[in-house]
Amino acid sequence: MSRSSNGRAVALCLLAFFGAGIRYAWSGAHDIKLPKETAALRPSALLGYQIAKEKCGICHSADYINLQPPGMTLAQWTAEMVKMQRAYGAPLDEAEIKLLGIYLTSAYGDAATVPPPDAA
Amino acid sequence: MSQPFGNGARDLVAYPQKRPLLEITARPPHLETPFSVFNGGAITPNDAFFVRYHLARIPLSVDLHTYRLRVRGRVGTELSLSLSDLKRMGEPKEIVAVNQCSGNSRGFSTPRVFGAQLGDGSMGNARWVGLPLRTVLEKAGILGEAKQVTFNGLDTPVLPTTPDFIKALEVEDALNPDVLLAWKMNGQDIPMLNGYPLKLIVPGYFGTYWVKHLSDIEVIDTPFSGHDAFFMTTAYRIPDNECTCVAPGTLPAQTRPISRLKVRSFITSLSNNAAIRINVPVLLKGIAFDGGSGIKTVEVADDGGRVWREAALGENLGRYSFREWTLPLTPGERGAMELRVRATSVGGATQPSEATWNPAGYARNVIESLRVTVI
Repeated sequence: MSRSSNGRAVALCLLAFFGAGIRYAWSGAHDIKLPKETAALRPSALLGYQIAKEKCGICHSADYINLQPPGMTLAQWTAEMVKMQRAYGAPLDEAEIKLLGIYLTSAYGDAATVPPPDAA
Repeated sequence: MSQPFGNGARDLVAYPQKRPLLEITARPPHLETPFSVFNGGAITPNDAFFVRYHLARIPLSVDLHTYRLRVRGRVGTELSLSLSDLKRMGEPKEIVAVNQCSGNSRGFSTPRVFGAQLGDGSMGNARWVGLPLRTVLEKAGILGEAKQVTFNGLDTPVLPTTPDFIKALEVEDALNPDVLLAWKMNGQDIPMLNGYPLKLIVPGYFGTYWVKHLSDIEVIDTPFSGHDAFFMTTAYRIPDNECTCVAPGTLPAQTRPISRLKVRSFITSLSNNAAIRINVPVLLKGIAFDGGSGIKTVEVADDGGRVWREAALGENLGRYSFREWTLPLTPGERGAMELRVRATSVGGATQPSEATWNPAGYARNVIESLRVTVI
């Protein structure tokens, strides 16, 4: 909701800007400012949450995670973290990958596929 | 707004030079066109055109005094061209062509797959003006042993361990006279987020090849490989078979780079769950496109797909363009109605009645179905 009204405000400002000086706008319009990033990860007491806050945001906003399909399993989320490390060069070690998988599955996926802490 | 799949809520956010669009991600920006825009005409306005980046370090300004397009590698003469050099090099060409994301409609994959969860709005059709790539390659002089041509833009990865976004075309495809180095989109400079000042236009091919902020062209004599070939050798690949599909949840034995668009069609004048009146004529309207052979027929069924009626095709803006279609319909019975639309390309391809599946959710082209109520 607040995002949309922000968006409208940005649109209005742009209109005012373009309206004020078409000539300047079209020679200088190719200098843009992006809207503020607002998405945040789902908070959790799990260790993986802290790692996610520290590492995922290096390369992308939290909405990359927030929009993923519901119900993904621990195996799927963990494999996705392996992909982030191997394919995209994310600075993650094996322990971090495991903890991220647990956090992401618990917060976003099929939490039933995460074994209880004592079994892990 | 909400997409009709799990976790489909999207904010409408206005980015520079854009009207409010569905925000998929903020960094790097990834914006989707609200589907209602496609009912407004065959051309997608620049401010409504979808945006998709892979790497977070994107150019927010480009100085034309310093901007250069480099052409290098297995060529007789390396070139370094300003935009005005390029504009003076030959006769500009205009092509109307659809740019569609490989992952357009990915959110409908069943079972769901990771990736940008797109509805049907990551596509658009624009009038592109630019110089044929071929003109520039001929000027540079491709050497005999050349195999592929690679394309890089000004966007770069945040970490050096992340592959750059570089795409490759076979030399013979790069020499296709319809491949353009475009500086105009619908009569204006290309919006920054769509690739200002120069964008590679590969008509008939998925958007992944349409490199934005194009700054570096390299002619190579071996198939593109290595760390920065990731978006050719690992990502953007489809199962190497006729349907480009596998059994849901399984992995393909062999893959190939995604290339041409598959034939698709949509109803744009009605949305799912709309109500229409009994005995009152409505004009159904929509769009169809394919990978460059052109649209031969569009058919619509109002009974879930048993009896198909041929729609009237609108103005032909070229074989790479959206083709509008219309069909009058007068509902004669109250209750649920399932509308379906299917297109057949000039090349003879049509759409499957059941959705196929691949691990990345690419190239969806199932016959679209719309449920409405007759009241």
